[in-house]
Amino acid sequence: MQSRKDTPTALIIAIVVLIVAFLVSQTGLFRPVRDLATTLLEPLQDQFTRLSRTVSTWAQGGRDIVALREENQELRAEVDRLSVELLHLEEANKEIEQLRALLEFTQQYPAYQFKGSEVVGRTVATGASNLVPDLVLDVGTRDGIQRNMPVVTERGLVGRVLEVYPTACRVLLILDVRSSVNAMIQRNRVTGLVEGRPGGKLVMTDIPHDASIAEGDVVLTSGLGGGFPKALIIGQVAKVIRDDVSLFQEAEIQSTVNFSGLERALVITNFTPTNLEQLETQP
Amino acid sequence: MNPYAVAAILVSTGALQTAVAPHLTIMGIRPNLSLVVVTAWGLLRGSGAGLWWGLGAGLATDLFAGVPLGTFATGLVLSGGVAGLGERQIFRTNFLMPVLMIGLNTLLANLVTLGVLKLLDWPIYFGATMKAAVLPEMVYNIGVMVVLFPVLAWLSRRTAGEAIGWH
Repeated sequence: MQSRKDTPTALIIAIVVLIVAFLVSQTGLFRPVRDLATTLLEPLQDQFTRLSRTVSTWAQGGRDIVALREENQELRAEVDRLSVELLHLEEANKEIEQLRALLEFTQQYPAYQFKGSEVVGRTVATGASNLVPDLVLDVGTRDGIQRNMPVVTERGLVGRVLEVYPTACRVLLILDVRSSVNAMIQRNRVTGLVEGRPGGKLVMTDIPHDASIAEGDVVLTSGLGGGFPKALIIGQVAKVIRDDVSLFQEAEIQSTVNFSGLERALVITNFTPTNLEQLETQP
Repeated sequence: MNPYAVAAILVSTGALQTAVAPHLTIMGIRPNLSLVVVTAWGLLRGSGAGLWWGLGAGLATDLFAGVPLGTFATGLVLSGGVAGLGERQIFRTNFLMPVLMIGLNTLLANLVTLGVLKLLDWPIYFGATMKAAVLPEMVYNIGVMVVLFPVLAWLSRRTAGEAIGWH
C-alpha cells in the first residue's frame, strides 16, 4: 500500500510542520489566519447551537405528544398543533425570563456598562477536547469587546475575555486550570484565590488556616488585583478542606452559574482590568 | 482520493470537533471525534495515512480551538501513526481492534497533549485530569468508534486503491 512507503516521509514532514507551526504560533504571525478561521466558524457554531436547542425542544415536545396520543387519539392532531405552539411560547417565555434576569442584574450594577451576547460555541469542561474548557461568544471587536473584560450572567461570574476576533470572542472560564480569581467570603471578608480544576471544579485556595469558613458561605470577587470588579458572585462553599499541618486551608466551591446550560452572557465593557504584568515590568 | 476532498474532510473534522462535539456532551464529557476519525483511518489505511490525517485534523482542531498550533496536532499525529501499526494485523477486521486502538490512542493523545500544555506552562493536575476527563472520554470514544468505524470502513472500501494525489 502506498501509505506504507509514505510513512517515513510523512513522519518527517509531520515533525517539521509541527515544529514550524508551534514556532509560528508562538510569534503571533498566525493571528490573522486564526481570526479568519474563527470568523468563518462562528456562523457554523451558531447554526449548530440553534439546531441543538431546536432538537432539545422538539424532543421534549415529542414526549408530550406520545402521552397525549395514548389518552385520546382523536385529539392528537389538535394537541400536536397546540403543543408546538406552546413550545414556541415556552421558548419565548424562557428567553424573556433570561433577558429580564440579565436586565435586573445590570440594574444592580449601574456603574458598569454591559454588552449582551449569545453563546455560540458552548464547550464546558473542555473546548476541542476534555482538557481545555472553552466558551465562544458572538460579540467581538466590532462590538467594542476587548481582552480581559469580565464575563458574567445574572447568576454570577463566568470568566474573562481571553481572545477577541472581529465577530466573536473566546472566554477563559473560571473553571479553566489557568484561571485564578481573587475572592472573598461574603460573611466575614476572608480572602483567597478561586482556581479552576480538572473536571470543571472550583477550589478556593490560600485561605488562612485560622479563618472561619463553612459550607454554604457565599464567595464573591474581592476586587483585589484589579482583574475583576468587586462583589460579583462566584459560588458557594461546598466542602472545606483543612489539615493541621498546612498554613492555609482550601474549599471546594460550587459555582452558581450552570456552565453546561449557558445560553447568554454579559461582557462588562467599561471595566478596565489592571495589567499587573505591565506594572511588574516598570522600574 | 482527491486531495481537496481529504482537506475538506480534515477541516470539517476540526470544525465538527469544536462545533458539534460540545452538543454531544454527556455528564460533562464529549467525544474526541477527530481522534476517532484519525484512529479509524490509520487502522484502515496504515501509518502513512494515519500520520497525514492526524496532522491535518490536528492542525484544524488547533486552529478552531484557539490553542497554540501543535497542541492537539502532536497527539493526533502520533495516534494516527500508532493506529497504522494495526493495519498490518490479521485481526484488523475484528471489531475489537478499533475498540482497543481507540482506547489506547485516547490515552496516548491526551498524555501527549498534557505534555505539550506542560511545556506551555499550563498548570497540570495529572491524576485529577485522568480521572475526570481522560478515562470517561475513553469510554465515550469507544462508543463513538463502534458507530463510526463501519462508516469509515465503507468509505475506505469505496476509495480503495485510490492514492491521494493531484488527479
